[in-house]
Amino acid sequence: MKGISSTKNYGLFFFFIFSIAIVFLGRTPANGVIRYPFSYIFEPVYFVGNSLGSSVFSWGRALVDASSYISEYKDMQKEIIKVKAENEEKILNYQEYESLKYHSSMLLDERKYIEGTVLKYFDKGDIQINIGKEEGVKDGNVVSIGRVFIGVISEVDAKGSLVRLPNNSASNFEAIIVDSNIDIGIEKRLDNFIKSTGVVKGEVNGIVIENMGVNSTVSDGDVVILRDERVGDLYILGTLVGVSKNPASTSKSAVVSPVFDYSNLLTVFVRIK
Amino acid sequence: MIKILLLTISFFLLIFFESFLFKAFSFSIFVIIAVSMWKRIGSIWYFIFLFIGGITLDIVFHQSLGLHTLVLSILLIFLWFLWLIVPRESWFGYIPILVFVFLYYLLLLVLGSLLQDSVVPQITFGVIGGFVVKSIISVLVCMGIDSLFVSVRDVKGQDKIRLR
Repeated sequence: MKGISSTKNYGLFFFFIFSIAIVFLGRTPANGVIRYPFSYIFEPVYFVGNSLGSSVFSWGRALVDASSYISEYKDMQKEIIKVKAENEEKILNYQEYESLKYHSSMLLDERKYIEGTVLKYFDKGDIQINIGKEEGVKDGNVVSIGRVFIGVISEVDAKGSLVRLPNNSASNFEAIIVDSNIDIGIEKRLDNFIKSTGVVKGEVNGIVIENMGVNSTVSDGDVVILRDERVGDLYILGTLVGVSKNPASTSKSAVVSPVFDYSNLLTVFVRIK
Repeated sequence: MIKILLLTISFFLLIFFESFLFKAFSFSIFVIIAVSMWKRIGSIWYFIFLFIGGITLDIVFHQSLGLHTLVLSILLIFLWFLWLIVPRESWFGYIPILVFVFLYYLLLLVLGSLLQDSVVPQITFGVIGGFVVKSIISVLVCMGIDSLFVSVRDVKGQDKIRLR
């Protein structure tokens, strides 16, 4: 505290009186007249300082509250997972409802079906479902959704089964090709509408149909229907794509585009009777 | 002329740092300048600085006109009396500064509310604690400024800057 002179200062009292005068002046209409020029000059500086101060304050608060942010973040993660799970459940329920609706509208009355949920899809052309021997599933049972063929049960466990899809290389079925306008739910006798017969088999790239009549009028978009004694009923498999046009060939072949994308299936129905 | 220029620049710096520190830490640099510069610069310049600085702060902080100047004038008189009892040159001289700064924050709150809304504000222990902390920090800053002055000023001639 050295280097400070201690002289009497009467200026203080004048300053005090002047301050009181300013306070009273602030209560008069002159207040606005005084404020405007000061505000005009110093408000931008105040704004810049205030903004910087606000940023520093926000960062300071963030640092102080870092632990609470972390716990909040963890809680939010849990919440998101919970919401996602609920959402997925709703989607599954809806998909199940859609499948049931579609299936029940087209199923054959004399048959008995069990609903199964797809657990896993295998690239080689299999799907694993959650029903097995305990539910009455047997080897060779047909798996479908409505009148659409999905596959055949190839392996059965107590609580699960493996379904061999048509795109599996071990799959092969006899099929007929009809025009896409034919509704097999209405038409009882399809013999008059058959364009050709063929053999469907699974390959690495998908499902192919071979041995179609070389003189047949099959074309892209025609419907492939399984008519195989191992399957029993008539089931739609898909539509023809890329019918071969080789005049030297003794038969026609094509790729079959399945009705469903097998990797996206969620609910299927196993015909047990 | 140079003094007017310096005074003008100092107003801009004051508003910038006051708004910055007040927003970031609720801390006032104006009170530190007021207490540290007393008797260190000419009285006229000192009071002009306090007057215009106080009015400017009232305006930019949207407070009643004359609030800062009134609070400072009351407290400077109070400080003047305190320094008659406790010598400023001793280490105990910082106790009046501590009281000064504490009362500055308190009066600013009370008088501000009274002048603007005619209501006595609610003062909790938390508010008082905050004022005490800010007062202690302000005193530490004042000590730093005093040390700076002692180091740059010649002991014999207080108006001269020490060269080495």
